[in-house]
Amino acid sequence: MIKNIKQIILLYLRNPAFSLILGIYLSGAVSSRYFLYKRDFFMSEEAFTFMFLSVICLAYIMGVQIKRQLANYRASLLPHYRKRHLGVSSLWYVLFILFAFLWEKSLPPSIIFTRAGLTGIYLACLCVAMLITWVGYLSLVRVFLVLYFAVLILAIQSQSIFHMIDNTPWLNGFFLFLSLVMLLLFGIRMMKLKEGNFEYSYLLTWPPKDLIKSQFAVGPQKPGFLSVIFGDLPAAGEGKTKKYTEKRSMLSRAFHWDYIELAELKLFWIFLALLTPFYLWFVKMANELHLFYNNTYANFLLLSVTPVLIVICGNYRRIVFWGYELLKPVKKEPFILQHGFAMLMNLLLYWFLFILFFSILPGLVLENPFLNELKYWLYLFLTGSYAFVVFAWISYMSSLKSTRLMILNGLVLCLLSLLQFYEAANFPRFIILTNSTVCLLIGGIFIQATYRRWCRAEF
Amino acid sequence: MADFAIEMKNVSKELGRKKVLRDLSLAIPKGSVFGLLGKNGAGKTTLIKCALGLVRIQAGGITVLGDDPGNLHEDTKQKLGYVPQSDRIYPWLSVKQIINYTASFYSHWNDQLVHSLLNDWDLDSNDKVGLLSEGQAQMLMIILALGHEPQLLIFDEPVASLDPAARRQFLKTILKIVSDRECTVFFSTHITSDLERVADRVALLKDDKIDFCGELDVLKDEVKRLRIVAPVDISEELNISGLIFCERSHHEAIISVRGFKPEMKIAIEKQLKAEIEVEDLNLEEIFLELNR
Repeated sequence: MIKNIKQIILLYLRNPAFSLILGIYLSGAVSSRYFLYKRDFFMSEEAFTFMFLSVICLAYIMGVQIKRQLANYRASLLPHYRKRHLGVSSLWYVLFILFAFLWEKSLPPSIIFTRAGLTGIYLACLCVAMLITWVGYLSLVRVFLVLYFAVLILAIQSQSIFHMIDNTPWLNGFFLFLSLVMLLLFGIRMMKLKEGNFEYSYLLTWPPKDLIKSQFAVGPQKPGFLSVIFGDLPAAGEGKTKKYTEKRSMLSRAFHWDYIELAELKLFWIFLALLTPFYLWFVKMANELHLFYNNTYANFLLLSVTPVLIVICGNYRRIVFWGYELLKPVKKEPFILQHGFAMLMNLLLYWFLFILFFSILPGLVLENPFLNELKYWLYLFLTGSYAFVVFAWISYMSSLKSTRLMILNGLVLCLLSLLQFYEAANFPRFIILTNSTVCLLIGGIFIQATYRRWCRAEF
Repeated sequence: MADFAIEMKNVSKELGRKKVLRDLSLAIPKGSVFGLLGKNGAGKTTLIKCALGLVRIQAGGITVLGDDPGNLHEDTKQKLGYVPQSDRIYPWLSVKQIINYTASFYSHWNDQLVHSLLNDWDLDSNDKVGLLSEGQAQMLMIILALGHEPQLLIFDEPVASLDPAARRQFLKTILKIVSDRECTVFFSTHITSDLERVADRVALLKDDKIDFCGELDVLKDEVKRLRIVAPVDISEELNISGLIFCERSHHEAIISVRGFKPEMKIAIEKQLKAEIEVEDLNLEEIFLELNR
């Protein structure tokens, strides 16, 4: 039994992504404590942010691992498989919490993180990660991504969330209770999971070939009431929709390709429209959130990175079809260009949605004076142009074959993003404008390079 | 002790609205090499998954080594080996690591057998699983299923991705395992020549039911092709029981029959005053005839 459990633990540790993030988590915790020891509270908090972010990623990877381990035949046929795999994942979970407790132990009172708040946040984040893993590649993926990042940024950026949890015992208890119930349900469900269960096929798998297999296994959706609202538009060539070959402009051709993912897009709009009144009510009621919205400049990562991630995640699975698509009577260069254009349109759309929901609408309710400042609008422009750079750079990275080059590019991009995150809001207007212009230019260069590389790529 | 490794009684299974198995009964005797045949989409994989409890059945009952597959006891799992059509395994692990990982679940593991199979199939234990070809991954899956020397081995299209040499090696291994110790092998395949080489019993799945289940030799004796040459034109309607197929050309006819008996030949000879030649069919021909 011990040999078996050791092998299951090794299964996690041998996963490069898990080990890497575990390393970041531990080093974040250690350095945070080190800076505390050195009385450098600012750096200690920043290091804690790393620890906090990495534990969410760890929980996410753990969720993927659990599904990967249990949604297969081995779970039913190998002796003691389910119990021991779930046991080991619970062990990891307990270790994360325990580590957080040890980290927090003997903190000076001047540090705002208290044990109750910390536990609540950790448990809530782990549950969010579990939830995301659970829904997997259902068409709600984009919506959940938005919610996920919203929770993430709210949690790390707004001290008010910590205050709210710490100062409201029932809320802390609620988080704890909700987390435990969800985890219990998750465990029970995973102990019984069979192929016939609806979520079995929706595995977050790697490589994408497997994902496509699992999507094919699910088969076409049955027509029903909801599909009338959320279902795909008529396929190209049906009804009034012109065939791809009849579409002349790049815009209409780009829209043609985008129709493949449109069901999710429509759902996203409908979802947001339905939630808007509640959202505005919540913003108005939760006074603590003033701190967050007053600090609009700190929303840089939310506005510039999240739309990119949504677009890239939404389109990622389409790339594996390109080889097949190119067998159709389409030329490679315009085909790549049209796909890129479709993604850029989506990027613009999502960025606008974020500006609308995280700046403009709350600004109306909160009567935020920042909204009338020119610097504020320039700053929003910067988030858009930086989103373009991130999008272009990640697209460029997707065309790289060398792993080392990809990691190097990723590191540089992360450092640049952090630099922008910390410094952009402090720049004067002229610098912000120049920064945005440079971002647009750099983005353009990366897009051009990406286009050329993809045109030369073998499918 | 039950005499059957797998016993299915009146099993029904639907996938969505589609009936895949309808009131199906099947018994696989212990110690047999049992082949399952059927067209694409006939339900072979579903039948195997039902037998292993990987999917729930809507009606009927199944026992595997005397146990309920929906809730297999850990001891029963120790005696089971399964290789699916395709599998997802952790691409970042090496062959050696995935073997150690799998071995750790079982109370008995034959390292010697595993290493000899790795050698036979030229699999490097340090290679990453993600870098293996489809055929090599299939070989690895077979090795993982054999390592704990199970009493019941279930293969779903095990040789689909293997080259002829590996296929031959696989069949040799199966025959050796069966001859060395009491082991039941249940497998589905499209490659009827392989099945003919190793299986002693077959089942034919057709129209969501078992069309034939029994010894391979019985099936071969039962299905025959007759070449009939009559002195006069052969009439439109041949009144022959078990007629599957008939191709007429004036005074000649080629017919396939099921449930052939020597008396049948004599009766037709008398009826048509014809000369009849009886042809034996191989399994592939039988499969084609029965699926017309």
